[in-house]
Amino acid sequence: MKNIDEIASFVGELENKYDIKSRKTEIDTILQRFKELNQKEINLDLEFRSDASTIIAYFYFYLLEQKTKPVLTGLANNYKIAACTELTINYVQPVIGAKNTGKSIRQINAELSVFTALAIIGGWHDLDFYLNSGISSLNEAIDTFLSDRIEIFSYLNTQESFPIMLNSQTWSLFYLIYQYYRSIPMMR
Amino acid sequence: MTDKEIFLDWLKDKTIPIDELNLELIQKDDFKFENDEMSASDKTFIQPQQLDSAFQLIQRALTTASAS
Repeated sequence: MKNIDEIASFVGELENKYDIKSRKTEIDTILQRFKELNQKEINLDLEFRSDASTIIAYFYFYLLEQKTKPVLTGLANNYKIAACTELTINYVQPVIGAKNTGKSIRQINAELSVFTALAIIGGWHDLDFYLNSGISSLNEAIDTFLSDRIEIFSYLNTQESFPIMLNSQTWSLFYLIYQYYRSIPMMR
Repeated sequence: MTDKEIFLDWLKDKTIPIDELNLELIQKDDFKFENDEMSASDKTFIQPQQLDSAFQLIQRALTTASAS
């Protein structure tokens, strides 16, 4: 195992290289809105660990530097950013409590992970997000993809695996297929 | 505790990432970003309306899945 002083020094370098503080604020916004929407839409009260946004923000850049940058030839694109954030949240498991639900805590964290990745990609492409593609078969395919994904993330052991690149490719393909369907007039 | 200390305290129990840790920051010339590319461009990391849309979409997907 590495010496903790070496790791502390490395994290200090990350602080100099990346704007972790801004990312922490953005993560706070995501967590807060997820909490509000769950409360408002499905009467689900969530509790987050108090240091959630700090750990997610730091661990995101930590993983980005460790797992993604070494195999990139350029910048991390929005799919890699979404994939890395999604895996980070799933690893951290920021939701620690939920009232009024039969869902497991792991499933709620999986929903939060996928929710965040979707919102990042939607924001990047300025989409009003897949909500109604105008194509019923595509809507059904998206629903199946997302519910399956949440189920996978409910069980995925990120303690052992951080498949950021493959995860990124999945989101890339998701967006590509979505745009392809939307570009064919006869499908609409 | 500072944010860095909070993170390090959390990280110390996470053996797998630490074992695999490469303590060299990537310094290739290609990586001229200040942050990640979200910050390097005009894009914002997250937009409020996308959060609401993503939530609705997930709820629809989960409802569809439980009904089938």
